[in-house]
Amino acid sequence: MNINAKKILIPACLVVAVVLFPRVVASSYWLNLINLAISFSIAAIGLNIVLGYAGQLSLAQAAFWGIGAYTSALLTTQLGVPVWGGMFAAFFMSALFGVLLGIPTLKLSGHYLAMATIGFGIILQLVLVNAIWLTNGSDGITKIPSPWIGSLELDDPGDFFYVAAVALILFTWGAINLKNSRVGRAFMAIRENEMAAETTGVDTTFYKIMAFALSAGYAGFGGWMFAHSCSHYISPDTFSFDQSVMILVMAVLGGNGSAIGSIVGSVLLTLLPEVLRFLKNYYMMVYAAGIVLIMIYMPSGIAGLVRHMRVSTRLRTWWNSDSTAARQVAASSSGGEVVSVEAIAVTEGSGAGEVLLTVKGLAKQFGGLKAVDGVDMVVRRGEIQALIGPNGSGKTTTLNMLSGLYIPTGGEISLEGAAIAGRKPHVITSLGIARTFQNIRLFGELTVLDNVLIGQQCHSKSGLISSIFHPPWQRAEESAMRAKAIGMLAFVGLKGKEFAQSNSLPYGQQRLLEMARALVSDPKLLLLDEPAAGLNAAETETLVDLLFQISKRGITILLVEHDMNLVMNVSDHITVLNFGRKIAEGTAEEIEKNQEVIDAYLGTEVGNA
Amino acid sequence: MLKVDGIESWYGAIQALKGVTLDVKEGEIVALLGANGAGKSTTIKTITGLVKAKKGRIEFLGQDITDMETEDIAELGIAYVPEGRRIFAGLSVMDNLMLGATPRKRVSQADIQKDLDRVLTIFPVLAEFRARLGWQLSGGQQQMLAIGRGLMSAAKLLIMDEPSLGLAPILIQEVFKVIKEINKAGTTILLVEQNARMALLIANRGYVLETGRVMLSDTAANLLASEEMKEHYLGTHANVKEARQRRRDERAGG
Repeated sequence: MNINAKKILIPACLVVAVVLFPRVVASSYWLNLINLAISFSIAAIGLNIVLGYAGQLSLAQAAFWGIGAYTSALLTTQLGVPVWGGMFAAFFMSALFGVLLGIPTLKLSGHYLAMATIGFGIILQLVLVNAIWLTNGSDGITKIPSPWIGSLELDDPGDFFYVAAVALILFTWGAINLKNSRVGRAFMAIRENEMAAETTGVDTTFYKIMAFALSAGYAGFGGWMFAHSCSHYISPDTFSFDQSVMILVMAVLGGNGSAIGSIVGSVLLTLLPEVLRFLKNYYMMVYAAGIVLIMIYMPSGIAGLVRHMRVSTRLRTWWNSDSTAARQVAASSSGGEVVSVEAIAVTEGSGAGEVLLTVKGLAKQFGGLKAVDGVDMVVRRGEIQALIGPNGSGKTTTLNMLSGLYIPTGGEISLEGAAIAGRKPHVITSLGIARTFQNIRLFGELTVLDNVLIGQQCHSKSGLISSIFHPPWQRAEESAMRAKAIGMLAFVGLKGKEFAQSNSLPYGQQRLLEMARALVSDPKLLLLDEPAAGLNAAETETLVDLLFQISKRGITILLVEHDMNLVMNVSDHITVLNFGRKIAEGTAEEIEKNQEVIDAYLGTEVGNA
Repeated sequence: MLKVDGIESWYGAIQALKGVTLDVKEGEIVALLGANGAGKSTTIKTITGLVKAKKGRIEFLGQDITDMETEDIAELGIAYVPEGRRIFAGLSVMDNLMLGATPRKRVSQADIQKDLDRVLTIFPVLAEFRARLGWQLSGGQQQMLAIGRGLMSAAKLLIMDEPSLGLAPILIQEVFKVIKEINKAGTTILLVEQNARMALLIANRGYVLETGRVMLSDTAANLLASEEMKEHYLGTHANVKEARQRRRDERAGG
């Protein structure tokens, strides 16, 4: 019943609703408004991809909307290109401009990024007004044709509505699909924590540009719809900064990150002024006050409000209860231990004891401060090595260089003989170094399972197209990734937490989750930055067992830690830093007796620490 | 001095405290221990007014502070050194310290200068780096600054949340030494710690929380000796040593 309901009942309802709608709402005036609202909806869903999914604020959505409208209008009126051809051109031209805007703004974030996008929008409007030879200036473009199907011209708003509705359904479906895919998760990882995304294997540069392009493409398509329906006339003043703000309000009012919410927001903001027109001079004031009130009382938008309603919780539980992911998790718990053993491949005998990582003369200078000053170090395969030293001695800086977050100012790092110093973090992750952070950096708003799925970014392939359309090979890959993720969660002891929101986990479990996320990328070397910080004695003992389990499966560990009970008991080899230099190295027994280490770091009450 | 009577606190739908009762007498160091999520931080957030108690009563120096605002509680003489050091990263060491004196009303510049001198004597490193910005300090120096800032309010009761977190062993020893000194100089201390052994070594008494309730309370010496404490909170290290031996044997054998 469940499957039937989802696969047949819901699409059937949609079809019936779409077919009947223009018959029920017979007024062309209202149908025109609905078409306009749908055009805005698609632009707002697009904005939600870049803002809601990837967390990048763009205030140029009306500009992309305009690029789409102008591209198709010019092609069809000047060059006689068919309207359907104009549709593709509108999408891709806007997407292209999205890439062009995306590249220079990559270095920016927050309000700087927002300002750059505002600038882009203003420039575009100026070009539309002043490049008269191309755009006909402020007179705009008239007589834009309607699309044709065979010999039927879709000039009646009721007919065009079918095109709009089908497009809206497809674009919404694509945006929702995207959310549960490799690309969509990469977007959300960037939103949640860009640094962690990069070290988890997400090429943040690439995905940010992709999000901008896709978002612009959506807007361009919306623009195409606008140009070829309603008045068949466009002029530059429609594509203003104000309009960008309006689309932003539609997306945020509907609910950040929710495609359906964007539709609700767009329809509401397009129709509300018409409903309020009887207020005459006051209507804009009431309209604005209404928006302010909604934002105050529904900070997470309409979607946020609905999400907390009991009916919607029940509906969602019903919907999710039968999802592929839920079934897979359920199957794994009845299957028992089988998956967890497979989660980490045992790479036994692959040259245990030989050199895995070599660090030579490594240095990092911040202004006048030498944080790391010529450190030499060797990490051997299969060992657990510790890096200890006083606060500020350069341990975390060293880890940051090993994982690519910092570019060394001197020295070499080589993994299995290949130089990796200065390479980007996601490249280093794919080469086999994964890490955790001192102050846990999870993708907090995402589920535990999603966190571990993002950890597999560098060993999975699905691109944008398959992330949107979910073809069989994409579903197979997802299923395999989920199986591995579920196994890994069981391995670290988080079985049964798969669908919990990760920042709702208690502190100790968040540490385990971060470790699972790192392990699932199949690292050769695992870097742990203070894994025992904030754990009590009992939890630390569990951690020790886990470290030994990981090591047993052939993964080399380099850890920074202040808990000497842990360090002295798990480490095969210890390196001690002070003021950015190595002051000692050796086995735990040797380090414990080293007077220089005692003076600088251990203090005299070693036994009590 | 401080009397906490059956407080219950909630985070949304989750009940974090299920009736916590404890008291701190003038001149004491009291340790508040327990596992992650047991309610230690919530307890002190409720005392300082950052979280409101749904039930129960909190009294400080005979005055009911249960429903008071955090800044008013601070004015009464309770200082809070938060977990993870939470210093003002963009401000200088001096600015951070002076901000600590904010709750003191009608106090002469000379008195503040006297307290500042005292803090800088306890933490010479802060005097050395007085012009540096918060984020430029190392973790240990930040912890010193956070404690120093707490002291600047000339509080009667200093509440500290995990002062040893993320510090090198030698610094942990130092921080605990400083806590002891501050206490000797007349400040009462409520200390929340994961590092139960170190905390009990300097404390007079201790409370152990479990899932939002007080499970054990005794003198520090008794708690240190208790088998139950050893097993759950102090750590026997026996399991760790056994695991290490097993690993060594395996590696030697394989």
